[in-house]
Amino acid sequence: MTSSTPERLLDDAFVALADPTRREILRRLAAGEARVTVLAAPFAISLNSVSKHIKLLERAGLVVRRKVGREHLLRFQPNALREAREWIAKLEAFWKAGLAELDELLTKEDESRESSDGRKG
Amino acid sequence: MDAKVEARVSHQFKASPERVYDAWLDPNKCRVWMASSLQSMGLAGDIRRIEIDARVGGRFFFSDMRNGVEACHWGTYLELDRPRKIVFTWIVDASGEADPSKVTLTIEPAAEGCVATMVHEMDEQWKDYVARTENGWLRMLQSVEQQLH
Repeated sequence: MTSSTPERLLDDAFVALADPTRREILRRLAAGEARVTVLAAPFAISLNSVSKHIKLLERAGLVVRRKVGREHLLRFQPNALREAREWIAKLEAFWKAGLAELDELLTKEDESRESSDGRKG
Repeated sequence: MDAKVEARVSHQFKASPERVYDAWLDPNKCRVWMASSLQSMGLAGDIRRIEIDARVGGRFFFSDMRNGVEACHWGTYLELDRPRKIVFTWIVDASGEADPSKVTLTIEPAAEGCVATMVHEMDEQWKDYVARTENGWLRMLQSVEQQLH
């Protein structure tokens, strides 16, 4: 894969998952490694079309291909999905910390106001 | 839409909705709480620029130094509804300009103070893909992961 920034990977992963055939391919691959021809068999579309779907999944990093003799074996690789999860977790940590520190700042303001009021009174 | 791809966090404040809202748009306050929040995440919190043009269509720009590199965050205010709501785009690099992610801060009054909720949604183009995924993207992710175990 070329420029695999998290954003790029995510982008590709979303395109890849936006199609029912590709999701079905992934579901089948989640059960284990499979040959391209076996994988293509249940679909009512040509092997050529299935290959195109597989290429998209490969580009998204969701599927990897290895060659054994003349066979092409495909394997599901969930790392691209993990990237998406991590992206969400990172943002949540970021905003969570932001809100907590804002609270801290406002609480300090209250405390200093109370203590100065106390001095006046 | 069944499932959304978004980051969502809430926080209970003792302060009033107005104070939380105003602190969000006050550059001096932002500088302080952003620095400490970056530090709490293990970063230097060395803030360089805080620019806020608090009107609808106005831009903001925040930056801090991370290992000698200036990390920049910027965006545009889409909605400013004091003291209830602030909606802004959030961009971390120029490639995100075309389809920026969107952050919605909602402030709701509570018995004591208020509750602020932040929702960070994925880029518009991604949201579109999620909408077209009939079972929702996250559910797909979960089911695929379950099958792996």
